[in-house]
Amino acid sequence: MKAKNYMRLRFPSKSVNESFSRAAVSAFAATLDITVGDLADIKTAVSEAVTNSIIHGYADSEGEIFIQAVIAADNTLKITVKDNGCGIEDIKLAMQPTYTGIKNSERSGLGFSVMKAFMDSVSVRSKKGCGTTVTLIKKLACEDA
Amino acid sequence: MTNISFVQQGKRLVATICGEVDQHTCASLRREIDARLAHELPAVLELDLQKVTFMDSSGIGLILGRYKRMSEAGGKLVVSRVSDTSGRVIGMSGITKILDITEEQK
Repeated sequence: MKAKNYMRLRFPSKSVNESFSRAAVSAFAATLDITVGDLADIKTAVSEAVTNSIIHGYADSEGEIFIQAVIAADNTLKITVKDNGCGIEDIKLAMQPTYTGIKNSERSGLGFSVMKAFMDSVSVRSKKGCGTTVTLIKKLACEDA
Repeated sequence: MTNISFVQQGKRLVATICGEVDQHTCASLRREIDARLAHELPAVLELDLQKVTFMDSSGIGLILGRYKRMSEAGGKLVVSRVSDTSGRVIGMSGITKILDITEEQK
């Protein structure tokens, strides 16, 4: 479908950028007249995806994270969060609620569960050693500005 | 900016978190809470979330970690005044089944 609006972000995988990136994506989504609840959902889902790239994808190293957000003509918001990190060996296992790849940490293992709960669709493409792309889709109920 | 303030009320330590709770801010929040717990050994730790403006699943990890720590020390964790934003993630996480969540600060 033809894009009505789009934006791209590229930034280093520093945890201080979690706040910046979710705020930037939610500000982009807010170019449409959407509900406060939808905005909070988008912000949280993006935060989870970016955090995964930082702590799992790049783990102890630093790399770049790429976000693309597209608003389609029917007001569907599609966000992709991509990293060139270590990739996920078993996507199905990684998406299990409470599974965490980092032992002895205080990670709740709920990242993908939160994304699934707050967005209409979540898909993950990954290959070990070749990075991960998470695609988040939400149909926005809004008035055209 | 995210910050945390503490009020000691007898055996109860109230920690009020103000701002955003994510993986980045959790590191210092955890450090500050745990330092106070080690120093003051409260019977009850209350986490007041009324001023939390954003929280993702990192916050659930922070709460569960403090729950575990308090339980191991024979104490108790109470989560109070959950804000709209923190409530969304807390609600879907299922931690309400094991946690004591109150509306009012005691």
